[in-house]
Amino acid sequence: MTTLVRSRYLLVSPHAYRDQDGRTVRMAYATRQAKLFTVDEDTAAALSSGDLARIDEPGLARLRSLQAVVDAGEDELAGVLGGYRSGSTDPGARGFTIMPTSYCNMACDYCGQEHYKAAVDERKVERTTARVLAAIADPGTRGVSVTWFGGEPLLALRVIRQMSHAFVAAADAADKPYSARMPTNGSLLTARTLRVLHDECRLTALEVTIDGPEKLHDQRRVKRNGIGSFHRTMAVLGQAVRDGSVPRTRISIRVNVDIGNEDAVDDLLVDLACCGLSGSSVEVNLMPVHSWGNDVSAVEVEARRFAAREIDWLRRARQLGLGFAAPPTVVRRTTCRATSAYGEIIDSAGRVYSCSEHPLVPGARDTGVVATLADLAGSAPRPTGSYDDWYDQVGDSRQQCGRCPLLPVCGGACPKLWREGHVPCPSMRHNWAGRLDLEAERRGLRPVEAG
Amino acid sequence: MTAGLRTSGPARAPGPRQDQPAPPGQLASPSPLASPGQLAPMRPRVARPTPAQRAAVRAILRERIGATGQALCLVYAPNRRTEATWLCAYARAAGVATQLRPAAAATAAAVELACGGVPGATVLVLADMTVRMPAGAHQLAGTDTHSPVDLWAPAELLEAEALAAARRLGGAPLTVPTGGGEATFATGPFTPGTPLGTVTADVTGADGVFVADAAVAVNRAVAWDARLARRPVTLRLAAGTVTAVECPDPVLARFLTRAVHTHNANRAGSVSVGLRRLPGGFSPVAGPVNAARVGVTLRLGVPPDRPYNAASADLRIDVTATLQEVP
Repeated sequence: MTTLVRSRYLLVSPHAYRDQDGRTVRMAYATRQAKLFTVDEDTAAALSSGDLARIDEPGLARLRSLQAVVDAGEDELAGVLGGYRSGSTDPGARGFTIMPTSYCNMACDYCGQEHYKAAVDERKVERTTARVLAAIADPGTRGVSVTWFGGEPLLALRVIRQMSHAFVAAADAADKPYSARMPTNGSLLTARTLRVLHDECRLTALEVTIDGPEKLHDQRRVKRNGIGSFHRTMAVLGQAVRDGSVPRTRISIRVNVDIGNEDAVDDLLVDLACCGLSGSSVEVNLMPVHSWGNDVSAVEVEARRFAAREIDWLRRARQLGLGFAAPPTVVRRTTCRATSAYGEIIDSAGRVYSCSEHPLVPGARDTGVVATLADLAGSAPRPTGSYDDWYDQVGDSRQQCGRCPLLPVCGGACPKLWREGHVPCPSMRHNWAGRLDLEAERRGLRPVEAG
Repeated sequence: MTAGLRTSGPARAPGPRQDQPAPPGQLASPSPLASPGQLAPMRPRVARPTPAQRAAVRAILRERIGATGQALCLVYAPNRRTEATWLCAYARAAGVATQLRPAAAATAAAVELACGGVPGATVLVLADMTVRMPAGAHQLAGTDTHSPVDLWAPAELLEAEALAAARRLGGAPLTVPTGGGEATFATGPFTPGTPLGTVTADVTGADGVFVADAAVAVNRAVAWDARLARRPVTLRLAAGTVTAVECPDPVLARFLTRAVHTHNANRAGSVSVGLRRLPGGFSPVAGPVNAARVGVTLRLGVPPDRPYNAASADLRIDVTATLQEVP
């Protein structure tokens, strides 16, 4: 006879809702499968008390299939970490973060990168291209994803197009999926550039940072030539969304929030709505400013305060028709490039790193190098980096993530920051109940208090 | 090639085609040719239109396409599949090349996306919410309780009423007494906005206080309840421009304040008087139908010479105040 217990990776909303049939339910989130679902009040009470005998057989079977309840003897943490280890050593999923330039045309106060200009070295471009092509050609590779990173990657659009042309052609010839994404400050975007990124470079995700309404954005995201970028960026994105000209590229509006702009987020949300940045292909991504090794403690918004305000912002965003990311509905396979042997960062000088927060950060720029392109043969995985033992650290309790119910959908967020003594937990750690409330509202459930 | 739509004679209810959508919840019936144990080919079914709806569908197509012989593209939100099917079937029966384009979701953004890239065709958009449409497209909006086929069919009585209202309202300034004040609009001539049931005039001057207590509609994908009965919007107007906005709903207040003062959607562009006495109240869906109910709708827009940003230059806000009687 198996004894079942509530999974340590199950979250049940503290709030009750009424569904369309008048039943009282609670939202639940089984993070081992990244599944959001509702349970009736009796089931919620049984899960809360641990008295699972009160749940009937079909109910238990459903919960078991969701891994919301598990065998008492199961080592769930080992299971979750096993999944991460398997995903992180999967040679079939190759990920490259490529920095085609080390320069940025902005100089934001809170940025931890140190940018420098360097002429494009065609030999290094060829080596980078060859490295990715070797991965695509490797029989063990099932698919390749590239993140164009910087500095400001669009300063090197010519190089991106040149490399993308080779990657796309090779992936098509090998009949392997290829996708690309790009974070950008948006200042160099034009309608034509967007179409090039969409059509030629197969960009599936574009993350543009807008830090506030015009005045604030242009103060914080200051271009080195002193010219603001707010209007141009908003106009280009608004037109693209309206025209549907880049249907396969998801646009994420990232807002780096600190004490300098937290009170302007509401106004920015209205600006995004007025400019038509809504719909299924756009989402708002509010991110607290964090340390890249630099000291941002004077401007950081305290994590719990950020999380509380975020729920209000997201609720207003929804009313304004703006999209935002729901709690993850896909279990992570690896935390980041730094935890995957088959993920690497290649800078414009041909140095290979395991962590994207090393290449342009003083100190780490030199100490974080794990290889150079010249060292790496063909498609061989990069050498071990500083964070490839991350799951061992979580497993033996050197890191507190092993106790967190969000581990299956978070992975620990950023091993580098943990090691540096920061707490990089996503806001969901503090506002998961609010996020379940938002999900309930999205499903048309009504708070019981509201009748 | 079609010579136009049939304009008279008994309605032949055309059968739905295989590529036509079926309303949700309706089952396909098994083919009589299917042998026992065999799976019958699926044949979607839709609710049949009533005789009045058949007449309305024909009249809508006659009015929108007439004898032009132009191809038809029917863009429809998911909740308007049935009406799309009717219009499609009748148009095809009349020999009009007709394309059905479902929007992926019942949102303005999804409908706008589905409207894209239809050169050389008449575009009819079956969607209830306010959407930004390409030039030349016509929206047939309904509400939760009223089908667009019922609302957009030409109706002689309504047309006559609209013509009379347009004549009556022309000439003198229009004074609108609302709950918290009074606004006076100098206007150009009123023109009937049939068949929906409005008369509309360009505003040449607007002063006073306009309290919108009925509904709000914005040509953006906002997701709020359009009704304003519990959160009226007060606009102060001077020389045709909004100078102040008040609303007890903080989200709406912030949106309107910023839309007016930052994005410059502050110009009183037109005023419409609604003529229809539809059963039920104003719709929570932020769409064009609320403007057709008895009331006054003020349209705010961005002056062409004062856009804040190219992406918000077409921002348009309709706020409706209730009226007891048509002026």
